[in-house]
Amino acid sequence: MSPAPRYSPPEAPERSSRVWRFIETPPAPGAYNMALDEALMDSVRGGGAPVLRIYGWDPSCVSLGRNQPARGRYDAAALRKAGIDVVRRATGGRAVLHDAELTYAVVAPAREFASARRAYREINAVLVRSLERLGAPASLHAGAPGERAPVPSTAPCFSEPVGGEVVAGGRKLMGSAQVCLGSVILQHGSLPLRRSRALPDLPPGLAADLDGHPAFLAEVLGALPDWRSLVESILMDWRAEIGAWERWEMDAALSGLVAALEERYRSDEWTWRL
Amino acid sequence: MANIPQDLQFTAEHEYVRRTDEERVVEIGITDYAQGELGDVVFVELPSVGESFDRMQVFGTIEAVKAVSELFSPLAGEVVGVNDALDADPGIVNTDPYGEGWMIRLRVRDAAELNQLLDPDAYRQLID
Repeated sequence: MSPAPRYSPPEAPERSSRVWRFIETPPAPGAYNMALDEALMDSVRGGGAPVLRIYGWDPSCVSLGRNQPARGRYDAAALRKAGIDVVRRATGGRAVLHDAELTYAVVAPAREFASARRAYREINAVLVRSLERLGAPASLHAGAPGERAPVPSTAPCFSEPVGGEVVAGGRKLMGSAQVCLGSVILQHGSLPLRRSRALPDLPPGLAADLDGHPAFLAEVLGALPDWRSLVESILMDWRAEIGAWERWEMDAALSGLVAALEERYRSDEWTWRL
Repeated sequence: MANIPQDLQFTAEHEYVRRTDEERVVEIGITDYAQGELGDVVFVELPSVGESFDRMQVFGTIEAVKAVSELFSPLAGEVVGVNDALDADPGIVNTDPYGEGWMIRLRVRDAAELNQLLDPDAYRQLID
């Protein structure tokens, strides 16, 4: 079977009438989180409905971009000593320190959004609306003309907003990255709620590598937001702008696949491949 | 408007195929339209010389603006050349997709497969 074209024509998306699956999982280790997102891609590729997943991380975790050089650039022992896990994402982009954070994964057939760029724009527009409802002065970063995308270096993901990203007061409020495999898009996004408390425990160079001085939601709102209000706000705009959803629980088949994929995401061979 | 050279063949996955002087060896890359749609290319992962692929099998990945996509082999064959220059400067795919931005050279298994590729007019219709 031939895969669908990677770069779909830029006309309006043929949005499916399918009801999205919404899955919310409690804070979990990095390997589990990445394995579940990849398993969801497999499920969508097999004909399952598209998925919006919202989750958190425990323990704190540095996720590396799929193609980011990391070997010899991040001190794994210092991270371990500070209780910080390391995982390599399936998605592109640069390192993110996930601590107190709301993370989302959107998994959908590539045709659902017509193009990867449109997926960014549409998903980020929903999030801006949801954050505004909570009182955050969020907006989409316009991007400078001729601006080049940052290469996957050790500079943290949050250090440089690119066009279309969610910012507050000129600083990046949400980071996002994508991968499209076998005609299914996975988009990751992270909304840091407050600065990580693990940073002071790290050697200064490493801490600087992981702290991109982003805007934090607690800072722009003046207080840490209530998790439920945040999730409900996103779900309300998702239904209005992207599509209807219903809560979904993982089945046994998916759990089995997650367990198998976790092995790979725990392996040094994948995490430190570059 | 995207540049579509008349001396190349194309795929619906936005790859081009250039015949070389060497028999059954073709040069493969992504089209000007594809690089424009992708945006700034920051990483290209290519196979090694000697690896073989079936038609439409994934031969590599390309990352642009934090989005990773697969590269599909338009023909079955064995890799006989890889553009190592893309390691150091993947942005060449944007600036010169049909020249310095080529990706792999493939020794085609079945030359008849070349007849299944799109000509420039058919590719133009696909993207217009």
